[in-house]
Amino acid sequence: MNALVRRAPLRSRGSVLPQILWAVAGMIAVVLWVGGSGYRQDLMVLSCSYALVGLGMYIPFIMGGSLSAAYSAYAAIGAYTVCIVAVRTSWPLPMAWILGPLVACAVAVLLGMATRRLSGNYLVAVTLLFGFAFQTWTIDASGITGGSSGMLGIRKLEIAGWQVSRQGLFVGSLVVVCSVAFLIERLRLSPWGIALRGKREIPLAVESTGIPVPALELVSLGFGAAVAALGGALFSGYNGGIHPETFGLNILFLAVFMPLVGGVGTPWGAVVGAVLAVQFSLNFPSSIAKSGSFAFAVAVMLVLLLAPKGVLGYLALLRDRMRRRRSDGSAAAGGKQS
Amino acid sequence: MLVQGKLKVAIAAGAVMAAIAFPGLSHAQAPAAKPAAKSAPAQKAAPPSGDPIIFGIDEDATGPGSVIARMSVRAMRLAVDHINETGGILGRPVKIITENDESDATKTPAVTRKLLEQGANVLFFATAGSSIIQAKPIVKEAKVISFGTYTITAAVTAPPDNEYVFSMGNANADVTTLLCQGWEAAKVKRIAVFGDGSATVDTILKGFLPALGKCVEVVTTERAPVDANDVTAQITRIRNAKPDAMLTIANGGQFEVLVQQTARRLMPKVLRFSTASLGNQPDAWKLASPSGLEGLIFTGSATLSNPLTKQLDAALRAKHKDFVAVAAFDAWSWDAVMMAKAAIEKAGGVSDKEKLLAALTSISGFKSSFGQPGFTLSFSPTKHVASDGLCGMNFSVFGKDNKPSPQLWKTYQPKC
Amino acid sequence: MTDLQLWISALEIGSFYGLIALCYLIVYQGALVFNFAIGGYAMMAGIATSWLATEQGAPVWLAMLFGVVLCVGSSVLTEMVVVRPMVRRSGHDELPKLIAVTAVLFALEQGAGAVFGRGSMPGQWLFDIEPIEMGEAVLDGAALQMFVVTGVVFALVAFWLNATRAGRMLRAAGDNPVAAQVLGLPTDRIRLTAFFVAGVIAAIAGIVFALKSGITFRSALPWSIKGFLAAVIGGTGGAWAPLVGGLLLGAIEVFVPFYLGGASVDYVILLLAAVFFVVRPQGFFARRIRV
Repeated sequence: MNALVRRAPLRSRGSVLPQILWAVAGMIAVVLWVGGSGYRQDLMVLSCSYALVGLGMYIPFIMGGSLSAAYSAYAAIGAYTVCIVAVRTSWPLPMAWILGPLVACAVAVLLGMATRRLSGNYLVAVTLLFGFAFQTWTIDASGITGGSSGMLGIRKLEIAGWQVSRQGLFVGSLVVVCSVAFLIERLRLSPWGIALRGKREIPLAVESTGIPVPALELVSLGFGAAVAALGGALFSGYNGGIHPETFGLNILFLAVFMPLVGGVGTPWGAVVGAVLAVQFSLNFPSSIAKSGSFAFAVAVMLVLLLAPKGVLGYLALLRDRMRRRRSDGSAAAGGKQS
Repeated sequence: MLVQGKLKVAIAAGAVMAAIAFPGLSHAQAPAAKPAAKSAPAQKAAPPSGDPIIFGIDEDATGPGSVIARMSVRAMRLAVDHINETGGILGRPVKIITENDESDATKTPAVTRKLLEQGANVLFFATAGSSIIQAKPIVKEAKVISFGTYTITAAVTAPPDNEYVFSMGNANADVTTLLCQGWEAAKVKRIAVFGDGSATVDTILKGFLPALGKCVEVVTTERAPVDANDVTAQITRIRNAKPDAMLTIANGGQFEVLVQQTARRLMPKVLRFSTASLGNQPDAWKLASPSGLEGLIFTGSATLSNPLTKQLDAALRAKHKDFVAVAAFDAWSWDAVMMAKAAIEKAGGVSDKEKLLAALTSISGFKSSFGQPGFTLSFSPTKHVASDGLCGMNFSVFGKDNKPSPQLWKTYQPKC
Repeated sequence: MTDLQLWISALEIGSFYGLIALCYLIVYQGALVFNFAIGGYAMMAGIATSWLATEQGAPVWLAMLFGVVLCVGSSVLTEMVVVRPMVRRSGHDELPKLIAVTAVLFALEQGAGAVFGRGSMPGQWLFDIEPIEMGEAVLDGAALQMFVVTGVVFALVAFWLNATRAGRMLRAAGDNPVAAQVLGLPTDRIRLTAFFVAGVIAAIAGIVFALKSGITFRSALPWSIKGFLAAVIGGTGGAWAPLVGGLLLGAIEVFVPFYLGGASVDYVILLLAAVFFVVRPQGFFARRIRV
């Protein structure tokens, strides 16, 4: 129990209102930064897609300690579902945004059940192989996925007769990301989340309280996959298509990196990490580093070394220090006077 | 004390990064640092003036396709330098802007949009086929004519969303026709096909196999992952199927060197054919063991008997000291720039995007810098691959020195 | 499975995977982290050697020395600059270390691409070995060299782990890190040794395997992944376990496409892996800890 208490205060001070205020402020800042630029809008929507994949990784990995390497497949499932529904059916498109995450969730749970006796590196190995096999399948199953040509020409999203514009999708994706992050933060602090986090540290202790650990893990894997699929759906929905090679190992490594860069103490870290990932790998001056992925890899290393709690953790540390200094300062001033 | 420790770590980490980053920096900038317009203009022309016309290049500068992309961009820069030295386009200079998507298709839409926002009037994609496909909806929306400078993925120029997307190299149907003619002349009846596992090759295979089935018997089709470390199993299967010849369809590079060497060792008597991949990548030839590629016949595109190809070869050789030999990707990229120039001149500028598209799709009889002498390129609203027929290609053969020999394949050449 | 040529191939790539897996095992024993940067070190050694020999015209032995130094240097620096501060801070929490070394892999990949160029380069021969004909099959020099090197390396490492003080300390540290710390074993030095030895092995593996079909900066990630799979298959039960894992993976990669065709390889390997891990969830050789 000691380790558990020491590493992460289970009930953090984070309350609801400041979080919402920060999220709203963040969204306003993003909208202002984007302005009329289609490119910046693309960057932010890509950040949102990445953020959802990272948030999906956060639940089983950071909270539960199980690393599934099939996230490229989960994102692809979300992306493909949107395209398949749009091209091959006349169903309303919002259904695809729900269906994709459900399919990904089912796949993750099945995969989790098949590997339930495995832990740690064995789970990584099998899910990694699943990711490869899934990519091959998207090329092979051309009757469903369009095969190696990918899928393009998807219709625009319509919600209750209102056609969602690119701007609408952009703002909508900001809202979705913030809501999901908020939801996961609540989840993290709920008894379920505490049990999941406990499982990562000392599974036996959690088991002994009567919580079925395997079920806990399956639910976390399924939920994570669903969130990642939402990210994939956002990407293909916004960019109007998908290709078997779009989501590869790159997205898997990003998903692992992002939560740690942003800060593992809260799911908002994954969101911050996603923004940084996009800024470093796409919007970084090429005169400093020609390769965006190099820039991001270096940033990851530096953050892990210099700010092990991630960017958000570091900011919180700074804030605490400032507060302490201020209170120290006033105490000292008070001391002198007396 | 703790802070000091952290500082030390930071300094050490910084030093490592600098060690890695700075040589890279100088390496990256070396070609750009050379004065571009030092040589005297080939023709006397008034220097271009006014607002530049902007060519946006999405270059995979650091990703899996960076070797080919570098060849392509090198030729495009040469073409643009040439244009600017000879009066520009309609008297206006041409400016190149580049962005890097690392062949990561999740990044390509944003990179494309960035180029468009910086005012790109024409787009050139020196990147993977999957990346270009991911950018097609954006290109269509922006109505900017775009070239895949080295892609051979048919899906790039096929519907949907293909209205503004063009490519250069021969269409699959031309390649299969040429192969069938060559095999007929060489009395090859039984063919084994070997492809890599990429989506690009998958598309090509789907187009090729039915067409090849009409002229020869395809006895087996084998695949191996692009990063395969060994292909003995696949080649043994091919050998056991007893073909007269093996056709390799791959992205080239290490993979194809491995395939060709293994095939040469395990079935030395079987003829080996390859579509334009390894033959177009001079940088990869040195990977082969001595005479490891000897006897490989490939559908090449560049032949020095074409005077325009010879000029391009000389110009590239003069500019780049590590230049090995002119290949299709150089020529395709040069021609893409020149066709864009012709279209802009025909349309009288770049402001009317639909007019520019109409101008491009009405170009015909354009003299090509690849293919046999006199080979031409054309586009139409339904023809988005520039090559006009079989004479864009030839059958080349690798010699003992692992380079294509100047003598083309004696058994058959397309009649032009 | 009677075709000798196929067995030669399986053994060749299997030996390479085994060597990389051995690096994983050694680092895991010393630092309790699956060092994903291993493939990056091996690539660094191979590419630096080829670059110095072919692009700069240096003698091959000098180029190899350069490759080894760079590779071992990367490995040792990873320990000193990245892993050690993280161990000091978060102890045996595997997560941040795992992510940090993965970032090292990408930095090495792109760093090598920037410094040594992004084209493929041929491997370098120290000695010219003529291919040996064995009936229908041919044992080429690259494969022969790989076999010899693998045999020697594994024998040396087995000896080192079992018969030397440093080796036994490494095993002790890996088997029970808490006890090792309590007993006052020099865990920092053990970890550094592990990274050093792994760096040397990775260098040898990378330089020798580059002979097969050349090397590029992009070799790093696939090599890391294959070595990781081999390490997982073999398990952590001793010095020879990675070799068994590597050879099994090599055999799968050769015989599955041979019998079932290349198109189904990804599915079959997934299936095999799933079944295998259900039967042997700890890999081939599980570590038995004597308490």
